[in-house]
Amino acid sequence: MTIWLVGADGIVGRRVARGLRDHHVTAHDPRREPTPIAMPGDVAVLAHPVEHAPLARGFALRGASVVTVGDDLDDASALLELHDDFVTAGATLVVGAAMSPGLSGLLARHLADQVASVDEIHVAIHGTAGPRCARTYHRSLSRRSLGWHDGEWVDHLGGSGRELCWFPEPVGAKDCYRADFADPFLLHVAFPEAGRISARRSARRRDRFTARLPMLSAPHAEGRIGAVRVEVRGDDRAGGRACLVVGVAELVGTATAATAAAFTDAAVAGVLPSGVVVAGQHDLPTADLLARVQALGVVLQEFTGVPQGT
Amino acid sequence: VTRDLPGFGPSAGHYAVEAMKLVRRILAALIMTGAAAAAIRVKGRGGTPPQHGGWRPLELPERRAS
Repeated sequence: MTIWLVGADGIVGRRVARGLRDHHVTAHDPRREPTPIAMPGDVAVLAHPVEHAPLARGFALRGASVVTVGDDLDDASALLELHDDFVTAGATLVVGAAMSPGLSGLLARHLADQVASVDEIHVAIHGTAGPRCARTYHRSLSRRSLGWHDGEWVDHLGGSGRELCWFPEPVGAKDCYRADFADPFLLHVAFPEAGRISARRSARRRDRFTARLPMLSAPHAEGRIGAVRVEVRGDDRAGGRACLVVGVAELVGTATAATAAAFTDAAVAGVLPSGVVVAGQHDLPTADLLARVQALGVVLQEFTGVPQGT
Repeated sequence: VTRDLPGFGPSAGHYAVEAMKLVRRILAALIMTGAAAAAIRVKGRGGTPPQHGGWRPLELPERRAS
């Protein structure tokens, strides 16, 4: 059994390889070899920046499972359409095994299991991983951003909807805005019962004003400490209202790699169902996946105060 | 207010009036910009800082036997 790692030279790819050092990991570069030579039972981790759907289809044809690391909405939509291909192949396709989407979905499921019903899920993220992630972040503030509101998709303007979100220390409070990324879309797949789903990302005034322009300066090799914050609102088992918050403060590349490695471990172990899998699905071993993420050095935290609903 | 005499170019008074108009327009633009910024700041939802509580490590439920 081989784990094929695409994007092995990036920040996330290198850390995924480190997290999977107990397995036989082979780097695969689709620019040199478009058709993978995978075998049934293999697992491919797609951590490269371009769209993943075409390559994932190639792995499905060879019977291999795929774990994708990305937050592009169009790509996520195309990946969901590969469900039948992977069911036929008896393989698994994990869509969005990053920090957000990915870890955010696992944390949302952890909170959802503590309430009787889930009404709202709100995700906020801060920070970026590598340069390509920073460029995607820059563009996301100028595009349309999806939000699920009372049973229908609402097309918001990226960079709108300011909300002050409190992340675990050392990140603290950040102004967050709507942006174009796949988290609300995938959370809706995992939590169809939730009436409202939103996702925001932190931004400074300069980020919002320059979002429609090319980046004024080249992005850093890696962003500083990032964070993700997941808030679930619903009814508790006593009939009252519940508002639970969990978060992570960690390098985005590290949290992303830990999530991807956890899903890859699960795919190798064969504990994931066939077809498309999205973080937060009720039939996933969420506690095991979160424990694996923790074991890879990511500290999960919960907020113990009383969140102020807005 | 001065008027331009026929057959002559604009008088010095004309330039003074135009300059004053420009100053008034700049002032009006600055005041309107300030008012809009103030309205956005007041209307914006800034959230309320938590008055108590904090973050603590998350305790996961018992893992399933594998």
